[in-house]
Amino acid sequence: MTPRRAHLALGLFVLVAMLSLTWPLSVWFAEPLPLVLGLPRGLFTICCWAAATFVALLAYDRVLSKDREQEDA
Amino acid sequence: MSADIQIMGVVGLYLALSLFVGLRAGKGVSDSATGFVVGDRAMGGVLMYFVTGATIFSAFAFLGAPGWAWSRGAAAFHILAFGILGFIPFYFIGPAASRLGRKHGFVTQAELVAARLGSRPLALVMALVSLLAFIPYLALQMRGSGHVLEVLTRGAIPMQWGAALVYGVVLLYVWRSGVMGVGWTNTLQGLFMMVLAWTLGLYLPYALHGGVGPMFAKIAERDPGFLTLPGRTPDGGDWSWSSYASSVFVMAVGFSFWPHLFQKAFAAKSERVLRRTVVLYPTFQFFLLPILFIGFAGVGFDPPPEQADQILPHLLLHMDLPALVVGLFCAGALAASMSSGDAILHSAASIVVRDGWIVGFGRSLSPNAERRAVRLMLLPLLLVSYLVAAVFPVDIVGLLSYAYGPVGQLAPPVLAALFWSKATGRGALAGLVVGSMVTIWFSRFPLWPVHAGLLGLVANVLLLVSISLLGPHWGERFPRKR
Repeated sequence: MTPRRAHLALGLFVLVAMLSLTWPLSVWFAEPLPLVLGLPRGLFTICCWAAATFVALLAYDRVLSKDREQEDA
Repeated sequence: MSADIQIMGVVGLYLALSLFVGLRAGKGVSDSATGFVVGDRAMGGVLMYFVTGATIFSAFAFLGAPGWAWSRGAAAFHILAFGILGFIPFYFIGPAASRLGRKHGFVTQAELVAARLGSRPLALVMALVSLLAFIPYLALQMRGSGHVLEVLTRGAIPMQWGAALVYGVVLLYVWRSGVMGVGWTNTLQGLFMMVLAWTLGLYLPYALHGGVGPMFAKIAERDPGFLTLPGRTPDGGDWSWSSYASSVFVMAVGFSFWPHLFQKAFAAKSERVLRRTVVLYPTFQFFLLPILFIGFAGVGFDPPPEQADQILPHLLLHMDLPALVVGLFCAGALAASMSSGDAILHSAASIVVRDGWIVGFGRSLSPNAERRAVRLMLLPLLLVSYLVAAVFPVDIVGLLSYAYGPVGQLAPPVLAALFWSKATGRGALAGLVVGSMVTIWFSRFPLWPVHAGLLGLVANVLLLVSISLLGPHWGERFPRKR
């Protein structure tokens, strides 16, 4: 993936995550039942976003690090 | 041996260990202001992770968050939500600030912004906004630590004495070791809090409800609305979506711009360390999750606590737990308070000296004199915060939410200084002053059900952009290296 696409992908990810964590998408997960892995759905969704954000940032950082290494070389 | 003595023994051991680690941490750091304030710009990855992570793991996390879960249900989820995205801007601004810091000798956020935009008054106003948020926040940490000691020793140690004892230790290691004392004690405290949070977060739901799943099922059956987003207001009504969403947004925007957190950009060993810290940061949210479990475990507990913030110590006192466990919790809560309080105190002192005296008023100090001045400033700042903590009653989460409002106003000038070449000091100053005033006004006299910081941000950005575009650009944009 090129850095340009990585920037775009991360930007889109943050936009969707912000929407989900604030208003419109969260409404779908607002009801607590049925519990998912023992957690209310809203809380489970937020945990999923935490994990997804970590993975997205990791992937983004790898793409940019490789690009920086190539530039340095 | 009585339970109170055992509890105090555990707390005493923890405080002694923190002091030992904090006092030793300053070895090998230069005697200059750069050594004291940003650790000679040599902080590695582990230290950065714990410094940035433990900073949010404050008295608010250990007392306020369970209190919200217990009293306001799903509204407490927003505490996890804003932290997930809040640190992402730092992936970009952190390395940019670090680069400029090395090149020009910056050690504070306001110093960087004022120099880039060529405006000394801007440094003064940013310092003032920072202190407006810092003093009550530090008072909150002190009150939290004193409160825990008072409740768990059944009044044997009054709140004022407890706060004085804990922050006496903080003063000693920050005075001796500066930011490295903050960094190494935060690492110790962060590890301690993680273990304790998950231990208590799993134990209490299990002991009171048979597990986390059965606990939520029982709450949902008893009161389904309690776990439905966006949760409840303090008086039991429904919290509005606009309040929930705007709180998450404002707190996420303000997150990276807390001056004591931002300052760590100047302390990092390399840009790579900064980027890695941001990448790992969302994992810290998983240590806040069990804290919420603790609050939910207290739902339906009889007798209920007098105040929501007391739910955790209240549960521990009424469950006949061994004194050792209660003492460990007490130490964990103190760790949470100290890990934020020390960073804030250290940062506030450096802001007063560097942004106020040196940049704002244009006075010069030698590196050694500056280090002495920062140390001396620790005393009045601690004293003022202590008086606020001792005299004024403070609502823990409400105060944190208030503090994020003014801090969020620092975001537009910082971003403009780093990434917008047309920004002017005049525009940034006008935006910051009006944005902060709008935030404070609407916090006090709410007009719509949205976080006041959002209205402040709108006013701030509008003024910053319009006045900057009108020009003229003025001032020196890149100062000499100190």
